[in-house]
Amino acid sequence: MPSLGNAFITPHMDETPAVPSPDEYLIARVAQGEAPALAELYDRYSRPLFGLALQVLHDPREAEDVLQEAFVQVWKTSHRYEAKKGRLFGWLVTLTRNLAIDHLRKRQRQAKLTEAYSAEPFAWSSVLDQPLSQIEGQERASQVRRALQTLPVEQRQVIELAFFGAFSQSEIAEKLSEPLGTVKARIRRGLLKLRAELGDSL
Amino acid sequence: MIDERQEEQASLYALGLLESDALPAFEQEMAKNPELRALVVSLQDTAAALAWSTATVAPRPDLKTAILAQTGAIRRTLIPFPVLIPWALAASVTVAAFLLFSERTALRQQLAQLQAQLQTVTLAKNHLEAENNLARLQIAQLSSTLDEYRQTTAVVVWDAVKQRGVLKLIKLPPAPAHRAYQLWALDSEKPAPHSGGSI
Repeated sequence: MPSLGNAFITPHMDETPAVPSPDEYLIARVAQGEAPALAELYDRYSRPLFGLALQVLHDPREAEDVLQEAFVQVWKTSHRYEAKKGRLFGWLVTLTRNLAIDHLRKRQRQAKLTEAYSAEPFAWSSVLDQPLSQIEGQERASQVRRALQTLPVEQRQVIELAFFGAFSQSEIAEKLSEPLGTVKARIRRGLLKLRAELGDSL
Repeated sequence: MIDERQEEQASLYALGLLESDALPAFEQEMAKNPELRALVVSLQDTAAALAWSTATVAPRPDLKTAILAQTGAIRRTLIPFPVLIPWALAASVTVAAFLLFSERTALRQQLAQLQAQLQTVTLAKNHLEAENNLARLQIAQLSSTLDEYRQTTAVVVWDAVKQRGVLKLIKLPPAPAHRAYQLWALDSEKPAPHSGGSI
């Protein structure tokens, strides 16, 4: 299977192949108010964005709320996207992740207010713990997971805690009982290795 | 050349972990260093790719319909802005430029008119001042009741403001030996007489 760049990936690989639109063209059409372009964007990226929200929130309904908010925000603010600052997928990921973290913080605040909050023991669940069978046929997901698997566990752990757990550097250091410098070094080495593993597919 | 410190900060930045106190300095450094900027972008793409690793479950099928329905409801108010904003801005700039140009031309004309008026007023003022100077001069012709001075005429031009004047004496007999004429100006506005010297 040839490697596929972000801009040319569609979840419907098994359907009749249509000429895929570059992301920038697609978002420009969304900015012009073309609903079919938003639908195409949804088909292309809703799965990883939903997965991301779910991984942050661990609640499917709340993750769907986040996904809906994210796409409504895309519809409203697509004209603000600047290709020179990064790829569209990165912009969508940042937007969705921020919304998910907002939901998470709100939930934590409410839990504290109702005194339902309890300091549960820290437990890290890797994305790789999720069954592989559900992602069969999705080349991109498999590719990233394979790249993640090549990382030493301690590097993968700090990256996942930072990205999905929304923890700060010092919070990660505290949870892992490791010096802050060690955490930073692991993040640096892990992310650089992940970039090398993903290579041209980025 | 990127060093380890920069790689570490770039990694933290890409994951949104760089502390706020270090953020401005790093962003400044990134703006000046294209190599560092390129590293950050590639690490951001790497971080974003992590989202694909979670694409194991699809959202419920009707969510797409719900999203499109919601965005469709706000579509009418949304569409004109992205399309019209550049044109509206361009039109605004054009109109503003035209107005400013017109205003500048009008102001220049107004300035020229005012300068001409000022020149006229200055001339008039000088003329009036000259007239006023003349108007305040007191001119008097003096004659004597004494027989030996009946032929003598004195013409006085006196400026009371400046306390200066000119005296013209016609056919004044010479002063007797060892005598001189002492001139005094008596101004009703001044308490003391003003000496004009002796001749």
